[in-house]
Amino acid sequence: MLAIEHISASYHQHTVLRDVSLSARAGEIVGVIGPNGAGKSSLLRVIGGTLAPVSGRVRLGNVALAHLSAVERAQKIAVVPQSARLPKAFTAGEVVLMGRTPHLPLFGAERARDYAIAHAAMTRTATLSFAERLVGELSGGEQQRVLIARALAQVTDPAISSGEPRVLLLDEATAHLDLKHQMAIWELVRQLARSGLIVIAALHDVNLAAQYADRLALLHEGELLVCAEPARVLTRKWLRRAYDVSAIVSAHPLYHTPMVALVAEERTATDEKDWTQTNTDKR
Amino acid sequence: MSVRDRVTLARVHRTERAAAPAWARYHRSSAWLAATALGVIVIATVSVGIGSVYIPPLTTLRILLARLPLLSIHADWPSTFGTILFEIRLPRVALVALTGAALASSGTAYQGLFRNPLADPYLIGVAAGAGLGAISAMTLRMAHPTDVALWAVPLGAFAGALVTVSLVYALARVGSSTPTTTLLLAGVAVGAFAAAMTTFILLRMGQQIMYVMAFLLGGYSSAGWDAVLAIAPFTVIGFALMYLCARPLNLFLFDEEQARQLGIPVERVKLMIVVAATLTTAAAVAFSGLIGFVGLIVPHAARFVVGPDHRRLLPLAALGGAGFLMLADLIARTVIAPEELPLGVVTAFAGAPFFIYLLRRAKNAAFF
Repeated sequence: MLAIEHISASYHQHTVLRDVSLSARAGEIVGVIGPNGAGKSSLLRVIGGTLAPVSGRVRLGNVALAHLSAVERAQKIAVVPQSARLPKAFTAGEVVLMGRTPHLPLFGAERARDYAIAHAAMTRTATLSFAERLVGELSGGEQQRVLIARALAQVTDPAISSGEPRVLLLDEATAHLDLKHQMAIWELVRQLARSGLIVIAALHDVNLAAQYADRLALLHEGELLVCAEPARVLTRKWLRRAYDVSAIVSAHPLYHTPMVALVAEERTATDEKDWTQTNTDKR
Repeated sequence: MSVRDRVTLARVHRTERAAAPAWARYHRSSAWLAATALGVIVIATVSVGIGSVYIPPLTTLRILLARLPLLSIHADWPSTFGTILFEIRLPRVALVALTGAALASSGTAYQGLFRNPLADPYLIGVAAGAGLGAISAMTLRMAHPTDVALWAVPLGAFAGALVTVSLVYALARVGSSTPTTTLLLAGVAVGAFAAAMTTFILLRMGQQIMYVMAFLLGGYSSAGWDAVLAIAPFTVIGFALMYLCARPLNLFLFDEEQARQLGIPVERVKLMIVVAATLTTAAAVAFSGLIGFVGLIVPHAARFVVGPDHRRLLPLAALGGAGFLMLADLIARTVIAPEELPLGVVTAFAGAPFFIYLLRRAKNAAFF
């Protein structure tokens, strides 16, 4: 269990998070949504340990993150960044192997075990087939898979029992991908979460968030407005409050997760009436 | 440790190496290192033989081997050959090789650290600062030859380089990070200032200006074993420190946030790399003057061959730098013999076109 307790944080003398509390269980995907500058990335950076909170604490299992060294923290919590930050001249396998960094001495080299773990991580993410190719030659979706494999290799530790919580943080990991690859990545993430990882994902796309997250945390100007199941977060009221938009929320025809349709302000009055009318007619 | 432990360890070591899969190129590039090392030896052997008195490579080898104990080699060469080789040619070639290795390896480190294919000791102003420090020390030494030791020149260079790099770093710092653009801009500005100061000191020098100018452009006419012994520790220690940081340096190619998230103490490692690269650059500048382009071309050539992993890249760049500069030096002292071209002129002649090629290619190429 990952517990974020009363976290406040600032960046360049600018408060980015105010008293945020939420928690996530193993096997769960928590989506962090909110407008630009709401504090999504800052929250992820606090959990990832690269932004120190001004007050409050993050607990993973029974330990406070502040009590862990940078290396110990990195063994349990991995970040999947956007693939734009990948150097292009490494092979995919070499990138995955770099996930083993926190398990190696600072000036040491990889051992056979690390190769085996990287191999396993690539098998699970279906990246093994292009392990030998240079990252620059891969498609955006493939690069993103490689970064997920790196994160998996990072939080795998055969010396520690599998019951210990492990966290994957995704920061807009699929924002630059096309629909098909977005979905493929999220199916993979869900599969990984169900195998026992805690997944916290910051996203822009609320419909994607609704479809894949078990719970959503809605941030606005550094404050957590609400954290609940998607159907209770993606409502007209909350969307108006956080994003300042008019929206109509319906349900996904198959999965019944909420689906958000935006409505232009000046056309709202008439169009919305029509829409309600048509729907009522159908029923 | 018992013998059996040792055997077991050796076996584990062997199996661990065998376990390295094909996608990790790190273990596969040893052949390149060996080939380059061999090339360096060949260039060195040929290079020491060429000059006003020609010594054939095989004779050179036999003269060298004759110096070793336990080997009895009949000396059928003129006795002057030994003197020429040991007193004139060998120290010069050794100094050139060390300089090339120092500049190329520190160039590799700077490029990796700043994630910028055009970063080299010159672009970020370190070499200009080292030059200013060295010239200041030299001026002092000329005024008081007995009080100021030869060591003052490398110390002055190192101090100058360290002051420059700290200044550039402080100027370029935005919050807790150092963006590449501000770093390069600060480097160019501080470097230009140091160069202006150097010119000012030069103009005030009078009689000795030719000697110092020759130094600035990279001249070796006065190279002796004392210079080799003075540069060697700086180069070796600096390189060792950089090599220790080779794996963390790979992570800096992503970005500092990712390196930090992977548990690397970013600021400490960065400081270590900057100090090490500055140390090696300063040593090279102190004894060889300002020789451009080695720290830029050689790392790229090495990267092209073994990929971006600094654990292979740094040694290969060091060897390549040694070989490249020995070749450049051979050209410098033969094309207009008995006169000599400054070494910096030769490297710029080869380097400038390469630099332009890099700039043209930079738009769509993957350097790292």
